[in-house]
Amino acid sequence: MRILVAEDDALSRTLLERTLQRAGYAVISVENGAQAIAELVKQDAPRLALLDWIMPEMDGVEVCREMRRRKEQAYTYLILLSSRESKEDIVAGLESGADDYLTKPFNVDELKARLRTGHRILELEDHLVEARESMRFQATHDLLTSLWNRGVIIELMSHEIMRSRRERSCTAVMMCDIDHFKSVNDQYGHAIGDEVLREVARRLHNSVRSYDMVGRYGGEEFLVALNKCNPGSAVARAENLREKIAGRPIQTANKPVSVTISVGLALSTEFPECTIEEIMHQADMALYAAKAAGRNCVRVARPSGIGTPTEEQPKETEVLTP
Amino acid sequence: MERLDGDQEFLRELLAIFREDVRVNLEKSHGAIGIGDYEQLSRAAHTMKGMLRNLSIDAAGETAAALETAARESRAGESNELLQKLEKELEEILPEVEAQLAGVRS
Repeated sequence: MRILVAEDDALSRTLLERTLQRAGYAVISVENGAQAIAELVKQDAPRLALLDWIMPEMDGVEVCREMRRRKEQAYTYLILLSSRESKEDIVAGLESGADDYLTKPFNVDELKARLRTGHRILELEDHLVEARESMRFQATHDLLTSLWNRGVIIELMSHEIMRSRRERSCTAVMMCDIDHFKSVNDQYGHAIGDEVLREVARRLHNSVRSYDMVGRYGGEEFLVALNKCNPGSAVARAENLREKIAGRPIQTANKPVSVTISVGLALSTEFPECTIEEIMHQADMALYAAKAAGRNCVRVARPSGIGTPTEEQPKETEVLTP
Repeated sequence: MERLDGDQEFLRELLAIFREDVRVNLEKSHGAIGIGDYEQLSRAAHTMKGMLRNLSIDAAGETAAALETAARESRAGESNELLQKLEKELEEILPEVEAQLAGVRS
């Protein structure tokens, strides 16, 4: 475990360093509060710190205050070192955000015991953060595929469409549905069906850019939103997704399973007056058209109706490409 | 000295720091008292107090603590007396420190 020692008195610092090294710590020492802050805000900074109360530049209490002001990083356990007669300052020190204090000259066993308390607090903090992150992930992701869940993908896409309208760019909305998925379940069982869903999800996710979004919309239906999409290349990108699924069979535990997807595409720039729900409905209509056209294909929603991918874009639609 | 765990070499390392830092802080103290900078004097006394207590040199440590307080409250006469007292006490200790340091080298 690494620990920071901030102490201006060389003798006291050397003594602390040696004692802590003997107790198994990797020690980083500095001579004033400003240096302490610089060390503690680094990436991978030590999470335990012993701070002398009275130091030049910035004293220990100010370091505590500054560290507690910064809430974005992991918790740092701060122990102030004080001389034994300044008892009246203890309250002020703890109120500044210190976790504990130790009087100098320190007793080795007491120092170790107080550091062990620090370890316990940090472990608790880690467990809490871990649990919070895990719950946050579960609340926002689909359990089976680890894609965004329905609520989150709709919300993210809504924000993105709103932003693209402000920035006069285009968001491409794609409804992708696995063709004849029910027969996969019927033929191979639900376990294999789940494997197929996971693999389709993985391929979709890997086929878009990091700032695009893929979510599981329903059973075998996925929603893909391409941000800042060039309207002229949206169809090609939808075709690319379709090809990524149809191109090669999915290796499941039992045997390879071939599936295809149908894609309904709607561009936010083609429906500038529509609500998010209406745009999604347009993509859904295009998806139905793709199913009706024989599946394993892409259909595009246009204000004039559903079109095939080869149709020219209406000339009157002015599209600003980013 | 339990903190040193009977490590003679480390004790000598600390004494070398002590010898040098006491000299520096005594100089600072005299300089500060000369121009009436009691905050500086109080800081120097604080540092010496810490060093003396760390080495369990208790009597001189208490004198340094008293000097720190007196200087913080800008009590000129008392600060002067205490600085002289501290210096006398340090003069008695330093030969011992020197002996320890010399003992190592031989």
